[in-house]
Amino acid sequence: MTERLLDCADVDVSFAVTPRGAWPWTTPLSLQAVSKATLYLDRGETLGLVGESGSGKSTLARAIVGTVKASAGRISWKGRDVTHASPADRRKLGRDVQMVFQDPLAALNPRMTVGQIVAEPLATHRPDLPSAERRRKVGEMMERVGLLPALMNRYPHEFSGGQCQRIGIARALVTEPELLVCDEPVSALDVSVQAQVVNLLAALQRDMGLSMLFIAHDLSVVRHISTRIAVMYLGRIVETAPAHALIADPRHPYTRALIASVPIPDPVRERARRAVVLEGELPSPLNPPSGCVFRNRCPIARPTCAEARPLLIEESAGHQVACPFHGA
Amino acid sequence: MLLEIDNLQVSFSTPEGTVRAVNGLGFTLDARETLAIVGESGSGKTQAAFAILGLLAKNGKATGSVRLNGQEILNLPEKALNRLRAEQVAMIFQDPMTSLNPYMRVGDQMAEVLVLHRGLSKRAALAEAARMLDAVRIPDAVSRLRMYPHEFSGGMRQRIMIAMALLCRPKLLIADEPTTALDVTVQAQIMALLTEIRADFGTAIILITHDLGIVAGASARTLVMYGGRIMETGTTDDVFASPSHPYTKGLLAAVPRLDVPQERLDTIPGDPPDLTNLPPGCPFAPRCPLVRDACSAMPPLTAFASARARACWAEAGEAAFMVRA
Repeated sequence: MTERLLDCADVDVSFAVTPRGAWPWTTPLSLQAVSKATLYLDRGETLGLVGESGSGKSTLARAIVGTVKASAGRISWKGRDVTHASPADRRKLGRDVQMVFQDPLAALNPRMTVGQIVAEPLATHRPDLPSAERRRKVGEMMERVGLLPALMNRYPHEFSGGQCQRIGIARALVTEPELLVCDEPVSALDVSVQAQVVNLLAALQRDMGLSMLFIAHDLSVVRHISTRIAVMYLGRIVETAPAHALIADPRHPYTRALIASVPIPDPVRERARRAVVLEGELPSPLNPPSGCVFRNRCPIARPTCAEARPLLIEESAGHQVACPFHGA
Repeated sequence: MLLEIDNLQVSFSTPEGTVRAVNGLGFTLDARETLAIVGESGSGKTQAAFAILGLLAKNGKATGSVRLNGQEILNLPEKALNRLRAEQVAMIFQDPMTSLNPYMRVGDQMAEVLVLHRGLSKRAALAEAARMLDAVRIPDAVSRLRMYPHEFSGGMRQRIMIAMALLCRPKLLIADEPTTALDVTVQAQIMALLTEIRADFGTAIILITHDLGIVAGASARTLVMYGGRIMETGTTDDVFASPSHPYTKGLLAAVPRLDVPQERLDTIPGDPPDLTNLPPGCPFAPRCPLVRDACSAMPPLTAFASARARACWAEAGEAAFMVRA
């Protein structure tokens, strides 16, 4: 029996935005970055969250970690509602949930040594730990992510991008969290280094029994590392499915377009691919289309799509789609 | 022959020492041809393009030879370069927002080019600008001329950059990571546009990118760079079907793919080279599975099959049997 770690039900996140050039007293607009997001994560699995910029994937992750507040809905961690947890409760949760960020160098304090950086979560979450023990754990973690513990006294700028990302991963894992949230962890890295970090994350996940929420815009990377994938568009989850099913049998027209847009590093196949599948760009989240937010770019849109928002419906085991017309 | 580059060297003097960004780059390009220069950060691909156009930073120095239509253009005086840049060669960059003037209406910045270089009246220039926006499929072009860059989305801005680059009908367009800042669905639109543009305007294109998927679809020839050196060149079909340099081989294996299932990604161990401290000889040697004593001297770029060349001491067949990293 798998244990449900995380459960998000109808989570909304909205921000108040004052339009540029508006009078200071005008009421700010509400930008709904995430709208009714429902997803779950079981122990030991990796959920990939894909979407283009502005799809709300990072905001949803931030709501899960607790750095932004959900304006509606429920987020529960191991069955306990943490949507409105107090800061003290949040801190306790912080030991269980850690995060890895996109820009590896910017995420590290340039004035701290690597050893201090990796040790900091231990100081926060395990203040009882004797310093020798803390040092041992830091060295062990560094070794685990492929860094020489002897480099403990160096500063971040002395490392390459790939190594900095390894430091970020070591820092996140040193408290032995149960859930690792990775927000575009390899997007800033070169291809040859990206593969190293993806393999490292996959190995750590397997060895430490971690659960992962892996956010990226690159579908090929997400497919490679995830057990299940959720696709987001303009704040909405439009499809979730086991990774292989999502790639082999995409159902939502947006998922199909996204997959068809990924260039293939094979000249023969790439030339045969019909490249432009989607016209236009993401609409403004301040003024999303009514009904289905994808309808103004959708190749199979019909008038009824403007009327009501399509619900995420389970069509086969674990495969949910928010489009009633994709089969037609 | 449109462009001939011989032994191009680009170096920068910095407080940390001399950075050798490009080291002996040479290739030729015919009119209407497409060439992709592929490489990771620090490969020298962008600095090579900057050197061609005379856009190097103040501490940069370029030597060697770059001939456009037989005329030497490397290190030309600024005035001659300015003419050349608009009328013969144009460049589009990764981030369109930083390449457009945020204080000028799109129409005005486009018209400026035409007034200066082709002596058109402002009115005629604006009309031509609108035609060009139309050519890059920007709907409602005439009214868009009065808008500012920030009023456009990322994909639209890149279309404007392409339109601007084409205003004087250049013979050569250098596109430096033109879609890296864009989402994948928009990237597909821009790449399709570049292909159409090449057909419509007969422009030769040098596409600089790190994305092997883009290269596969967009260019006939591919040149792979690493640490400022050419590792391998050939037709795109050949390079992808039978990569011959261990670096090309490793790079292709490291790309996660949607179209074929992979258990584990092959990796290239180590990190990209530090340009202030390049090893003597082949820059890829420290990461290369086929490294040998000879690699402490740079292997020459040697032709080994029709239209193909590689810079590696290992036998051409060896890379094919490379062990998985």
